[in-house]
Amino acid sequence: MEFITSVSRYILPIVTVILLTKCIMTLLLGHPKEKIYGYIIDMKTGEKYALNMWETSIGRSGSCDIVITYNTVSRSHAVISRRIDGWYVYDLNSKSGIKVNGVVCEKKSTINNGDIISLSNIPFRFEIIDDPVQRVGKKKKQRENSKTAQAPAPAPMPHASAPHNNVNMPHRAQETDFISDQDFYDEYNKPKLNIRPHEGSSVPISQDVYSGKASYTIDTPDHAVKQRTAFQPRLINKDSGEIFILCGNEVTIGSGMKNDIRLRSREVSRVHAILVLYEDGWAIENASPNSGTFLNSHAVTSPQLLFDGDVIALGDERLYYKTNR
Amino acid sequence: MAGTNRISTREKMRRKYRYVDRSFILFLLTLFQVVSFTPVIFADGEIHFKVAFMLLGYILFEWIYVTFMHNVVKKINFELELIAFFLSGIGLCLTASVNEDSMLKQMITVLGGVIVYDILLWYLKDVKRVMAIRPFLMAFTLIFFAGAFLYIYKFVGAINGAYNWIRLGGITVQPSEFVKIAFVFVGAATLDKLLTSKNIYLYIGFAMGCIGILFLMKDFGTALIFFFTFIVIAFMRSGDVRSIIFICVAAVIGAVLILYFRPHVMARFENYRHVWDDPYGRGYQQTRVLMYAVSGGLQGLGVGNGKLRHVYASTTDLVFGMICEEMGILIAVAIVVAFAFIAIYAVKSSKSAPSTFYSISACSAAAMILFQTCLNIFGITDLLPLTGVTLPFISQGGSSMVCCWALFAFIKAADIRAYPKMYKT
Repeated sequence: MEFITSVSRYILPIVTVILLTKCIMTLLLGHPKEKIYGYIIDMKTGEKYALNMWETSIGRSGSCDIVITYNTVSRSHAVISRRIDGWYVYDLNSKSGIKVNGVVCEKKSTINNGDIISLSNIPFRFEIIDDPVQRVGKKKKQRENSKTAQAPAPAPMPHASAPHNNVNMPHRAQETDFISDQDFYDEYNKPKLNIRPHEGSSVPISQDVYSGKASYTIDTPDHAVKQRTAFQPRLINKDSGEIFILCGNEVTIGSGMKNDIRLRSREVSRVHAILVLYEDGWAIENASPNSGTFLNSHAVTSPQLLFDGDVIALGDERLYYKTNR
Repeated sequence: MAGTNRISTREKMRRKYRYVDRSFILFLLTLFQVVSFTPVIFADGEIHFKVAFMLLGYILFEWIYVTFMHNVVKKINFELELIAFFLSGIGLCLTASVNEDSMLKQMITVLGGVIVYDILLWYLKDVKRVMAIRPFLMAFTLIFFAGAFLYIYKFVGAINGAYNWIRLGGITVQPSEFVKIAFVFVGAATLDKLLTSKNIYLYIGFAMGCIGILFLMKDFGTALIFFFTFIVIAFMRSGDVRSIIFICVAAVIGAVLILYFRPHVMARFENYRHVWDDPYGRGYQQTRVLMYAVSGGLQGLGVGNGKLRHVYASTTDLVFGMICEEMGILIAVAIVVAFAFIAIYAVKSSKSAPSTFYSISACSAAAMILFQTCLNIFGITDLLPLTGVTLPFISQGGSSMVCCWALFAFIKAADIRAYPKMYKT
């Protein structure tokens, strides 16, 4: 018995040290290394913020993971979450809200690679490096597939791009007191007059619209021209029905003669607003400090990216921005 | 280029220590348990078959559990479970050496703890599911805890000066141990919920309710653990050091006021730093711990050869002293270091956890275990007031054992290696 006790006095500490060292080394050193899952890119400044956590808070407060210094952004504005079934953006009851590809996000919204997340109308592009959807079990995959197969076909949407989020959101155009999208399309499909270049333009309409002047006015039922311009970004004057196809890199709007898009209203400044083509689309900037430019009833204080269905108010003029047919 | 294929030293280390060799560790575990139990089985010149069979059952359970989890459930990493088995094994050995009848009860609580651990780990897999149950758990915990206090106050009465034990037949249950699990569960939240004011106020209300009931129960040790955990959770949630300082200052002022206006509370702590004034009276336990722990030396006197085993609460509150005396200071220090490294592991895991919920719950659970360990060790060695809290996994006690396994589930869940089917590691 004494022999066992004396042996155990040596064996036990050695075994303890080996056992605990092995386990602790594996716990601490075998841990997967941290990596970057994606980025959000400030489209105004081009600044790139890495998403290296599964949940990232964004806001003006210093305690947020990504600190954004714009005054219109709330202290804790949004959270971008990486979940097993995809990426989500959550609105933390911010004052100015979040939009995903121009669609208002009420509480949460799914986001995909390349989506534009607007925090208080400041656009950020979302880029994924690592897809969180991992090795989902075969049964789960089959279940998901069968669900998709059994689901009834969604009702055809008469207008607007399909929103990426799975939360039912009212389309912004419905929130305004301007013409509805359906009315606009009915109006647009009516037979009209011939196409003519915008005033001041010397480029004939037969040329590619992207290669010439900044904008064109179309008021034609010509099927070929309509088809060619159907998917090009354009502005539609609600009152006159004029359609301005946007091309080039910069388009000025105002009442002055030299503007690419001329609006004949006394309430519109000589150069009222400027449209600038960014990598992710057209953005509007206010050029009239006195009258102001409004995008969906919100004053434009910094360049705002335009999305299908946006309404631009310049004085008493209302312009619709459309990208889809 | 040759340089492009070169793997960094850190990556090499990561690959080397990616998985623990579970068969080798299980072999070491079995060796440790067989060697440590041998003096207990052959104590007093006779063979204690009951202890031998229970040891065999425990070893078989460890092997079957790890093999089943690896081959059927497809789990890969077992380090945390093996450490918990190791610590529980030490507790079982010391319990059996003092009273072999208590070993079976303790073994059943280990089994219960493992079941709770695995159920909780499975439940924590889905963060949406976790967030859905939080409000209900919060309400249920407060009602259960308040109800338990009223029941104890009315029908059971104080045991060792505190109203924190429920007697159900031959079993005694400590409700505050189960509330610890809910406290961590409710304290953590996903980031989108975390930053809303409603969530913060609700949690403050919940924490104050729990700590208040513990004060009414006169279980100051557990109240202190809850408060410390609350501080950790508050820091994890806000990241604001000034708020934490403010909370601590407010707590200190509150404590001073309580001691000033309620002198009977002070009486519980008057023995602190004066254990040698009355070594045969109020300071009996702590003076014995100090003397016998040192007498064990580096390698200990051997299981069953100590003197501390004859002192009251030797396998519960004073178990660390018994480890020092009978197993040696080397093993005692290794246990403390293991707890410290588990806390470091929790912090490390929380950085890459799949949700803030996991990060907060892991850090707070680790903090709770570490703080409880400190309170126990420093309490019995008179560095802090003796509060009567248990040493995690080792002290004899069913509620504490189940709670410790559940807290380990929170730590494990923060590591994405815990769910190899879900996450690419």
